[in-house]
Amino acid sequence: MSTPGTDNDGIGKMRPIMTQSSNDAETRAITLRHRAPNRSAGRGFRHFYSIIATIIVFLIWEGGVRLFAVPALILPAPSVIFATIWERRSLYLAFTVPTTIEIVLGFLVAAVAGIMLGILVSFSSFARTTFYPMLISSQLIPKVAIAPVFVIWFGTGLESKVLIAFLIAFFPIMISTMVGLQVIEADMVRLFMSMGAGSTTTFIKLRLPAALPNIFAGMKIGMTLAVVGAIVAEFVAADRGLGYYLLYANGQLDSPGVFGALVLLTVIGVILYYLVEWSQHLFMPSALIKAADLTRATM
Amino acid sequence: MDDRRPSSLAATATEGAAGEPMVRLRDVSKVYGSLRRHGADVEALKPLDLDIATGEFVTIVGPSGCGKSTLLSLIAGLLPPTTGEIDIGGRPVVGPYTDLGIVFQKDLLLAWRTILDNVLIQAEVRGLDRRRMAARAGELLNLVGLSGFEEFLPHELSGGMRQRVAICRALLHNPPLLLMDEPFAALDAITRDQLTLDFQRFWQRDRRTVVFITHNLIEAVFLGDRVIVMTPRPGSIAEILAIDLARPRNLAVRDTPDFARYTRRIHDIFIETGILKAE
Repeated sequence: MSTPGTDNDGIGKMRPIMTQSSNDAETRAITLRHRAPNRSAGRGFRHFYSIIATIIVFLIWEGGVRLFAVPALILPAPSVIFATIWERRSLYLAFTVPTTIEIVLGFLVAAVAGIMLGILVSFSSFARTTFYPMLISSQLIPKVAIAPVFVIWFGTGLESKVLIAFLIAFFPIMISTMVGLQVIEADMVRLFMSMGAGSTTTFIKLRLPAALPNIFAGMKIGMTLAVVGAIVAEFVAADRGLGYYLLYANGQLDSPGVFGALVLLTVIGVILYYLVEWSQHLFMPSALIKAADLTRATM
Repeated sequence: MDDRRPSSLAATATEGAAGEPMVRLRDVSKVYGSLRRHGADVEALKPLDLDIATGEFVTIVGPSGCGKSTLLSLIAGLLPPTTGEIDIGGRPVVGPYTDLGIVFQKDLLLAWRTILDNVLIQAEVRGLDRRRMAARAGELLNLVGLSGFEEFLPHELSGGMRQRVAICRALLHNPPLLLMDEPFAALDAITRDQLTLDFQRFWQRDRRTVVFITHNLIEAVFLGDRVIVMTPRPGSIAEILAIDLARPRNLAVRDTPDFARYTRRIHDIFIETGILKAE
């Protein structure tokens, strides 16, 4: 029985030729491993443990400050810090928003530019010989040192802060994109050539997806650096933002205020970092991300 | 695209179709220019002639560095020959030749694609109808004993299973020619025996033209209609053995005197050409 239009090569109705039984043990073992209770419970515990550990650190801090009667100017107790944040919540909120915007915008520009430049430098020998040395040199200028120049050029508004956050964050993204695009095996490219793939198809179907784990690793570093960039920019010239408030409170010898800003900065940074990590799932299969999870190295 | 029924391929199994070889090499050689400024050029292949008939299973055996992989790349059009001409199906090979499937020593599966999607990359790159090809991919995976693994990711499979997937990918578009570059060399001995057996049976269904490179002479004799024995670098054909053993060949055939005669002969050639040192 042959259905017209299908089965044009006669393999349709045949039984397995490479026998299932031959690799049955192999197959079964793998199936079992796959169906074994997954570690979702364990993952829940991982968060549980990190929360417990954080609480313990705060308790030791609190206890130490009280036991040795450390003055709040030197090191305020966590209870004092959280009380300060709560008391000045409207002020902190008003300063958290602009800083977060600076970080996010700086990071986004850095991600787009870093990936584009990484691709450009990887595939264009012209870009590699002309722009690349310039891009490297741009990283050797201390960003803190040129921040005042940007303020002169772009004013004390949002632009100069986004620019500095971008300048600090884009480099690891560009480098990791370049590294990612080079990890392809030569035979893999030959395989694609034999399928008739041109360089565009090879790039979209092979090089770019293969580079994604590296690109995301670079973006995670870039995210943390964007926080540094935004704060540095606010140190130089600003009239709002957590970085600005850090300097202000420090000038007032208001240590609880300083620590309150630090806590909020940390919280923003952690949330944004995990947002980047989570966004991987939009581009890569979850099982692959899990398999390549850096925090789960086994000996 | 070639859509011939395998039955018609099988009918013309060992004889070349109308006497025309499927693959024809004339005076083909390869010299690699040295990468160093004053280094000497490396002659990988001496000029050689070779005909491979339609439906023939040709194995090429030789030591590492004898130019057998170079030979395969030349046939696939992935390397230009220094001299000579290569025809496949009467058409000269200039640039990558696409009407074929290739299996390499590494499975080269894409880690981010499921098993089914890894097989279907062949259809995507070639712009073939995905739905029709998905059905065929499922059938091929079933044939190699991997039905039920379509949605797995490559890292969840063993080496042998992954190489089976690579074979399915190479055959998805039903190419008339299959090139294999030491496909089982990275596998453990038992898995290797199993895949060799299975692949023979698989091949016997449609008797597609296969060029199979190996450094394992037992594998070469077991699978080949003809075994091409290479000399050390610069590579050339030392001798061609026609293997007259009934198919399907089972593992026990390796212990028969006939089989031993062939392997003994290859050993002798290896000793004559200095690949093996006689004790």
